[in-house]
Amino acid sequence: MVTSIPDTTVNAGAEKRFFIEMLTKDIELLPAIVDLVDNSVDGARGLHPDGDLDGQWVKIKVKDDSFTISDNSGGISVDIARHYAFRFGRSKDFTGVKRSVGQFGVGMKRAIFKIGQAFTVKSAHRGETGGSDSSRFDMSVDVEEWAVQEAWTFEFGNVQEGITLAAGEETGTTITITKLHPSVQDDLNDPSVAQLLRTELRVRHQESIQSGLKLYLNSETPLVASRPSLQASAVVRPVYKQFQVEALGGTVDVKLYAGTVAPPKRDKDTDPEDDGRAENFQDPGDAGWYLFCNDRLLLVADRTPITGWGNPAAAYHPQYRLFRGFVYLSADDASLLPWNTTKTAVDRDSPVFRAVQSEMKTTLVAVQAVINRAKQVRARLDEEETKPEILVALDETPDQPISSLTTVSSQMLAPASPPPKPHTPATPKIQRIQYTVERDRYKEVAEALGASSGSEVGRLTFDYFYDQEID
Amino acid sequence: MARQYEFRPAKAAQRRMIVDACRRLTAIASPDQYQYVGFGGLEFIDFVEFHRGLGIPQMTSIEHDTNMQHRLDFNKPYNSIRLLIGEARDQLPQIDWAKLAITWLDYTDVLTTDILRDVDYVVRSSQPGSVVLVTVNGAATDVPIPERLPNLRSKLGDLVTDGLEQTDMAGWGPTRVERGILQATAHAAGRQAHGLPFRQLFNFEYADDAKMLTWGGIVTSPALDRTIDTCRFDDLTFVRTRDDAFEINVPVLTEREIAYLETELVGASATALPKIKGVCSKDIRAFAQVYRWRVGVR
Repeated sequence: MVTSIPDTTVNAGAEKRFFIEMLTKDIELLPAIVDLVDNSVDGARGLHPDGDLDGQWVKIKVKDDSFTISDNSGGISVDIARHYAFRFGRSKDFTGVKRSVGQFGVGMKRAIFKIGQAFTVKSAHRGETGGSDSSRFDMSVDVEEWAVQEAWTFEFGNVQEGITLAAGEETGTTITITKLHPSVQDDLNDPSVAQLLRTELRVRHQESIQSGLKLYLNSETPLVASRPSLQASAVVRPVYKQFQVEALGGTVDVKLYAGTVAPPKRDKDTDPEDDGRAENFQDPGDAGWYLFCNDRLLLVADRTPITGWGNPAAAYHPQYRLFRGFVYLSADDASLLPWNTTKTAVDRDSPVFRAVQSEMKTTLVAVQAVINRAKQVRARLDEEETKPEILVALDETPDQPISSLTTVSSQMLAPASPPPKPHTPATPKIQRIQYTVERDRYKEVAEALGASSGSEVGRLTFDYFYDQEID
Repeated sequence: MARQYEFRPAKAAQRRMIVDACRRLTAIASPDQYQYVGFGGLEFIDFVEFHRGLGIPQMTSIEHDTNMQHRLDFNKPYNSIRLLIGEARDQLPQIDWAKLAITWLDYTDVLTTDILRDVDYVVRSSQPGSVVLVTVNGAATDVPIPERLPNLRSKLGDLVTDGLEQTDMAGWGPTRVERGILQATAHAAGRQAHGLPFRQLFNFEYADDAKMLTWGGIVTSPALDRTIDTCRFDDLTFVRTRDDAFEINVPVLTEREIAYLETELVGASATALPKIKGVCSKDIRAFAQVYRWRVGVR
């Protein structure tokens, strides 16, 4: 082997084990699973360019020794599987799905490697014509074995090409991962991790769930999506901006909503066990910005300087706990969107994000200003006074789903604050002084001043000094 | 009560210089299409200047003293002036920023991070072609030299660069630090929000009593930048686009001296300034720089 390489060439090939380790090092388990769901969602969106995902489903089943994700998202054709789907990194000539979430061509493989040591992929794909251009394949890989072999290839098990699928047969993909890494096995069997995964899936894919996708996690009941809502009425109008950002190679459409949510009602009629509210961003910990890229949630309840907190807006403080902002970025070409490869954070250097960030910053200042004004009005409100309009509006206005907002508004509208009552002039602060002097000297001074008492002498001498030296 | 500007000749001249520069906005839009946003105080002097000079009818004054409502209502010189009462940062979002604006954040305080946030917000929110000005106390008056640097750091934290020493704090030193920080803030906000850094036009230093800084310029964008070039702000002698400041110094002269100097100055070459026995040439040079914008009888 060494002798076959010319002297002037240096070997810079990748060790597979090193490669796998690097690939999985920077992703955590939950984002990896969400990433797998991303693939299924992309498939479903590919089938329904109109965005209506009714009838589409994704099922995740976690068992002691296996992890399975299956979908009816149209499957992977043998041709795509052979040339693109299992390559590491996206090939330039792969066109992909419009408005997709997947972009880098690493998500599925990285997630699989993160979870276990062996996997099976089964897929059935219906061709364009629905005729004999359909295909079906399955493929089993043991990662340990693959890591020691020289070639960067996987081997199909069964392959059927140019077949016709029965009219009713659902097409889709099932990925089963076995030989789970011990730590992953522990995590997946830990109820608190399972709970986090549930929340993560529900929140990150809420827009797809809203659009009709059924997402199941170890259950026959699909997950319920959060429903972004803001206070809106004739007197309170949240910020709603729509604009486009030109990026190199395309346009990113932006929708930005921000305002306040209704304060939680504390009356006894509410069932404390009712977690319906928790499904709708009603927890104070939910305050902040939510940023979606092609409907996949990227930033959750962000209250950091990235979204303007502390610069130029005020830093987060509990008085802003009712603030919610929702930003939706969408682009036909997912590579224009400002996400990092693990889709857990924004790419701050992206010019697209900078432009959006600037709008988020000014919007946050505007909403904070309304909250501040209301706070000042509340602070100077006397008990018997009737509540001014601004407080009635912010305390009583119910939340509306942001999808029902139609009027574009660059400012948050709320009733004006009533003019403050003038302060009563403050009573001057006083300082008492006392001192002892020789009686003879006191008498001389008292006589010179024409004063008849010690206190008078004290006051007149002080005034004398003040007039001469200070005033 | 005498009008306040008679006691503040430098501030009054500066106001007229800025109005004069704003006349050049015509390449972007007719100046009367702009709105003016300021801190009018009880006297609204800037509001009168901007209305008379540019014809601006839409004006908003922000006043932080919540006890002044009635006096402000009485004192405002035009009914069209909208009063917003409260802290600037809570009131600025109520301005309609979709309209071109000349915004003058006329503070009397030393620069603080709160002020910088207001500047950031206004630069971001303003449409390209809008003018933004900030006046702050120059952080030099009444602060002994050894305390100036700690004083700046306590107000501005890490924004004050490490390389500074006490020797940099003499005279206008602290003011120049403030100017650098203002510029960096507006620069970044402009670049993020509009695609190009904020263009500085004004860097005035003056001392009617305390040393003051008025810094500002115009919000630009890739689409508007060439148009702003055609405004030819640089032709104005008091415009400063770089680090150097224009110091406004209105010398104390008699009416007779002023009349003589104006008669002689106009048309004379800059190297051959007129002379008056007993008046130092420094004052005559200062007068030559400001006489066109001086507020006074003649």
